[in-house]
Amino acid sequence: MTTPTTLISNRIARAALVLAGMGFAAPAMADELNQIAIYGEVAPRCWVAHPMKIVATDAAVQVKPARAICNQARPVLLTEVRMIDSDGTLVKPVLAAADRAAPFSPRTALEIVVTPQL
Amino acid sequence: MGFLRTLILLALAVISVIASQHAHAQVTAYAVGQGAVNSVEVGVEVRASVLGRCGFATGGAPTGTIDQADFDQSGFTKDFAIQLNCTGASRIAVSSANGGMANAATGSTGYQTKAPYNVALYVAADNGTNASATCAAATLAAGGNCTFAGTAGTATGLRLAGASTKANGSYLRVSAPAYAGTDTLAAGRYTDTLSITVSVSP
Repeated sequence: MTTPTTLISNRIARAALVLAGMGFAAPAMADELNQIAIYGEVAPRCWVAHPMKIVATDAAVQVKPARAICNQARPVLLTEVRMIDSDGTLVKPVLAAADRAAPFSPRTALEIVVTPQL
Repeated sequence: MGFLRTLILLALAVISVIASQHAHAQVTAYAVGQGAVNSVEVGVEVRASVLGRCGFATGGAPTGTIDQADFDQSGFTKDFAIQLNCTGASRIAVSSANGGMANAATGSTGYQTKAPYNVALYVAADNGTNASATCAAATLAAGGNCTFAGTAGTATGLRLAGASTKANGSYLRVSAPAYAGTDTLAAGRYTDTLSITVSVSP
């Protein structure tokens, strides 16, 4: 009795290998998608773009208006009259009645503070 | 009964003919001592091709978050490391959801609700070559004209000519200087999302 050990058709072998080769030839990998999230915060704030400038002479007074910028639509304006010290720095407000009794400098300034309304 | 026998014999004959036809294309080998033919030589034609495999290495995808307070005053910069796993040339592309950092608030005259920033790509290959480019986020939105805008494809994206399978120092950098636009940047929360894709390149 004989026992077949190999029974291979060349055609079948070639067909199988060609089919296997087609598998390798297919696109290997699809695109990959990854994401980066970017966050940032802009705090509400105001700043003076141009300070008010007043030049007074005997002939005339020139006023250059101040310009304040706020990065949100609801600014708040606070004004105070403050004394100017001998070195030119602003000192405490002169609005309080108690302060009226204190020595009073003839030089004063109108301080305008612009802040965002939160 | 006789008809049935005739029918069976006819069927066997047909099967025999078919089998004999197939036998012409086959060679049977037998164990040693069991037959004359003990081996069969078969010519095997092997054809296979492997296209470039390309993607991000495990843990090498550029993902993450940056959250910068008061970026309009301080600006920001952050690098996101990239490690590719591409056996051949590749392309990497980036798209921006908003074309800048956008604020959900409604803008008005004199105010800006989209903050500009830049995206830089630097990719390096195993052989020491590299490719790099920088674009404004505005040019990474749909239809943008940045060289690496869009979704990576065979002709879209920044092309790296060499294979890149190691940590070669590749990165994506997002950055912005302090805001210097004419219109005031409105207060609030700003966001954008970058999508990064990679693809094989012929």
